[in-house]
Amino acid sequence: MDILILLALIANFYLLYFSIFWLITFFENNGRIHEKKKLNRFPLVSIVIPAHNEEKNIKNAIESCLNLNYPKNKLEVIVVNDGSTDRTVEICKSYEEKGLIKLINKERGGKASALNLGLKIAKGEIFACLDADSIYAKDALIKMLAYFDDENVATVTPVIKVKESSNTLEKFQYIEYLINALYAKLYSFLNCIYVIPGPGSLYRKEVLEKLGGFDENSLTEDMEITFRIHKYGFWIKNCFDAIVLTSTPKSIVNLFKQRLRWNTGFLETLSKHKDVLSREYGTFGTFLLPSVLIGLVICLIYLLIILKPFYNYIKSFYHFSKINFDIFPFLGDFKINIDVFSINTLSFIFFCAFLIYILYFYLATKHQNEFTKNRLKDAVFASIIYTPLLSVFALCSLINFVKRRIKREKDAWKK
Amino acid sequence: MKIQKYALPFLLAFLIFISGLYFDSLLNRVKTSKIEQSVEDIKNSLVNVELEFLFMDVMKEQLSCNYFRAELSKMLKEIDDLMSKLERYEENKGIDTTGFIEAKKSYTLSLVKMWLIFEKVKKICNENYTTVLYFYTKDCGNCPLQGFYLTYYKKIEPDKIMVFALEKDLNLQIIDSMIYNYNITIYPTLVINGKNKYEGFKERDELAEIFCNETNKTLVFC
Repeated sequence: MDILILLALIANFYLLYFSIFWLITFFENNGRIHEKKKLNRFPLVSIVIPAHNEEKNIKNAIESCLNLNYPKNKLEVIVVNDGSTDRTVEICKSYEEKGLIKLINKERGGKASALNLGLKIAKGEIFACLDADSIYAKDALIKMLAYFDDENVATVTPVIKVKESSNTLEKFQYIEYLINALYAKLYSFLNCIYVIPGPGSLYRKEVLEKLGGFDENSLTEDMEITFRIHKYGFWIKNCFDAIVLTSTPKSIVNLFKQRLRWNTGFLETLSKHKDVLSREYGTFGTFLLPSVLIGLVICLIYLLIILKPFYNYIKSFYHFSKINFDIFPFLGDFKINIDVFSINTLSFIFFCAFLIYILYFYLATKHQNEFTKNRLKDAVFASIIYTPLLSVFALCSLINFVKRRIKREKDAWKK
Repeated sequence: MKIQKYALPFLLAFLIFISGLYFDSLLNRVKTSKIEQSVEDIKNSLVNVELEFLFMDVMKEQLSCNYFRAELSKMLKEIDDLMSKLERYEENKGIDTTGFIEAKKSYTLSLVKMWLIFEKVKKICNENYTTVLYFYTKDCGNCPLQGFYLTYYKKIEPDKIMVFALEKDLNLQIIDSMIYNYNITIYPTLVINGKNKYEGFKERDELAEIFCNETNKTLVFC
């Protein structure tokens, strides 16, 4: 048996198992996806917006906070200017003068340091962080806050959607975010959300303070804090009806940078908090994290499988180039033979994986009222073009992780 | 953490997986039986021709070259079809591949037999086609390109160039004897018209030159 086929089998079994697992979780909790909870009291909420050179977005972010259907006297909006050199300060000042927001200036120190400064100043019982390129839907806050009635809940995450989807790459990300939204809800049922997204998530402030705020050395401070919240045994809930719109990379290069940071950040966070991989942390430690980790490796296997026909095309191309593309003698061959010999078990496996993907797409879009034929078309294209692209990024991230690790060890040696 | 929650999906995945494997072996059975059928057809054609030879020999009759010409071109079509099936089988290989090597061995044996018949008919009927025995191994780097060049020229002159590709790794006794007989140590190696050996990889132009020399420049590309 081909080693490639063996790898494909392992990868496919993995995919099958986890798809079925989450599908069962979905049907077990089908009625609870759009859980309606009533907000009994209005706690003071501090929304902190860290901003570094965000002159294009900051206005929309602030406006979305001011337009929330939440009592104005219970809302505090704080913009932490993280050493911006553009018109960000100027825009924020106009709001500050009207007494609508608080503006704090600091030297550039990264998003985590800005959030930590915001945490020190915030007076609210609930701490909300909002990326400057994101906007709250009008009713997002009220819907999320209702989850804090349960004292074990430390964090509530919203559903993140893509703000603009004009180009193809954004359309693909739009689909990806829709599907991930469903997964986040499913993870939430088993308390194993592994990243609290930067756009719009709510934290109980006392928990953040107890944990000592965000890690300023982490590539993905939002993921790092998630792990620590799990360690302290708190719950992280997802509210499927609270929507936050966010900007996504418009170019492949920027998308690559983002995913490289996310994946490398995941690996670094995991290696920092290795101890969560134990029975003590339930589904999160023993099931979800290993599955995400294996998922990164599985990406490589799928890449290899995709590369094989690609390699054959290149070989044929090379052969034809050697005869100066004199294809006339071969024209008789170009009849397409579709019979039992053209069916390939590997392509059959791929087809199954594709069907599972479309099923999740359907469930996710149906529950978010986003199902359209055009989107289905996008989803099909995304599975052909976008998913392999993400696999390439995952491969680069693994390499990047190892590289950074070696460098850090060398630096430590020098000291 | 309830163990059932994790075991049930595993069981379901396992069942789907097993049915997938069953499907694969079913598919393989269909494929090999089709190949076996084609091999059987070719064997029958070969037996027919061999019997004809014997019959003519015993009856001391003149061979009917027209009859053989027709038979040989029919066989060529059959073996080409079988080769395409085998190639596509190899390209789209599944998990279960039992029967494939056996089928390939039968195919190669038929090929050798066909070559012998082609050589015999050529002598008796004064045909002007060129036969090429192409010896190759699975892991020889230049062999795929060499095979492609041979196919290319065969496609240009389908009635004048007959290629018989023989894989050493099949460990067939007759191929081993041929390798010993022609003293072949390098792959790829070509033996043209059963006599002239050309060792090592031949570039496109070298190959054309060889063909032209062997045929006294009667081919279109000379």
